[in-house]
Amino acid sequence: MYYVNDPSSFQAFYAAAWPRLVGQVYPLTGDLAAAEDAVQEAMIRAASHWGRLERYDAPELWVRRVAVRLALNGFRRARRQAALLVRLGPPPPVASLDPEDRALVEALAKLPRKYREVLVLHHLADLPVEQVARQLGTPSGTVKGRLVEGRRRLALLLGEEVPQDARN
Amino acid sequence: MPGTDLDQRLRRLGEAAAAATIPRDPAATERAGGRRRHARRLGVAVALAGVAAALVVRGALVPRPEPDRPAGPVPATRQVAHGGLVFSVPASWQVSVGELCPGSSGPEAVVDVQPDPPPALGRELRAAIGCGAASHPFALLRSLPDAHLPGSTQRTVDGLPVHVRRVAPAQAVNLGKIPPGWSVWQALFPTEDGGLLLQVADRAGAERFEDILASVRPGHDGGGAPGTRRLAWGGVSFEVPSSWQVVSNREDACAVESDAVFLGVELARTGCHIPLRHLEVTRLASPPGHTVRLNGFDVQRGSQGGMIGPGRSLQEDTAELADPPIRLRMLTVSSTSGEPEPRWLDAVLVSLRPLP
Repeated sequence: MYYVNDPSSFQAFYAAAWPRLVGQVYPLTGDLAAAEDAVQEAMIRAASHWGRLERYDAPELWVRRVAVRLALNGFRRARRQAALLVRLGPPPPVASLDPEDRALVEALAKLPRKYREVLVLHHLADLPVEQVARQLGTPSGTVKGRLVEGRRRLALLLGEEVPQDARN
Repeated sequence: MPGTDLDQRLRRLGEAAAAATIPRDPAATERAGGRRRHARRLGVAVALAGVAAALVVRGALVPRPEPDRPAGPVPATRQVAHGGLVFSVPASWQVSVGELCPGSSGPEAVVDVQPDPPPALGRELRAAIGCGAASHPFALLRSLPDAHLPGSTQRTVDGLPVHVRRVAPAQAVNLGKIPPGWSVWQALFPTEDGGLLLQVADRAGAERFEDILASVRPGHDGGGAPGTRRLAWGGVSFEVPSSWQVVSNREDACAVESDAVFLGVELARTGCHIPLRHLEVTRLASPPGHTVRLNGFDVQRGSQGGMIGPGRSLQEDTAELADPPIRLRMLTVSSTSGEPEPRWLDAVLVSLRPLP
């Protein structure tokens, strides 16, 4: 719950939502800095619309949708383009992960985007299939199919047994 | 991979990232959002990639740099011109144009940009926004359609009649975010087009207001900040930091690393690296459509930015003048963890003067 008309409500929202959002976007990017950048840009956009967003039941959903879109689409492209224009230093080290988690990150990165996004939104962000479909503008049936195929491909990439529900 | 197992592993991955991430500055993020909202309300958001196509260089004019100021004592004040009057504010104050949260990050003088004609007192375009309370003194200049200031007394400053009153912080112009107990004074100067309001908010009483009020004089010659020099190009003159390199031909453009002014040189057409901090002044093919009145000029402001790498942000601020039709574009790459960049383009804008 955020505080309508409280001047500092955005900052309270920011502090509470930041770790969750970065945690949800990170598996999409496989790069902590890139996830943070996407969330930060989404937060700036949220701040610029805060008068409207703070009246939403869950403004975090809006910010997550923007951050996911940025992480998957134009933001990375814009970032690469901008990196060509300006001389940037080397990226800082990413979060230390155990080998199993790192293998999952690498496997996710190898998945085509359409599978990666439904897996992350459904399994990590806990969105029901219908909400994933709305967020991505894709039919529910397509989302279900991608979830099954995504899990199958992920299992193959991780050298694991292909799940029963993905064999059909 | 079973769905439940994937749930757990992805969640663990997210938790590891959530534990490793360090939130950036919420207040700075809020201010950045406010700047974008302000630009959007002015109807001037400009796409970075599409801008270059809209520009046509009509032959570079020969720049006419004016000599640096003679050596001498560093001035204690700088001048801010607005609406035909010149105000002196402490040289250490930042000068801002259209700042949404005055006094939030440091002492500053704010020129409140408005359409022409401006709305009446109490009918500001902007409602109070999500700013924290001011923590530093600030002065605000705002054009009004008339010279009516209820409950004021009349005084004379340098031969100019002026209406003066003290108001409660909650009644201050545009804002409701001045701490209770602060002193807020307003002075309204009658002008040819209506009035010009000076408002000073300070925790320390009326002394600062009286200093600024006593400095007011007729004129359009803003500027005079320490460490700056005045350049002339395209029918206007303006101030830039003295240390900045001035580039007026394409051959020299690629040698610049940072801190430069490009006069009539469109960097996007040179194929050079983009300097980390620079101002580009070029001719406009056609005057802008939606403008506000600023320091005697009709101006369309634009602003956009975003993260461009770990801990780095790119900020682009533009101002397009209707007459003469020129475009000023300030680009800054900065660290998000360091001190905020000064408002370079704002300082340039308040120092703008037409060339005779």
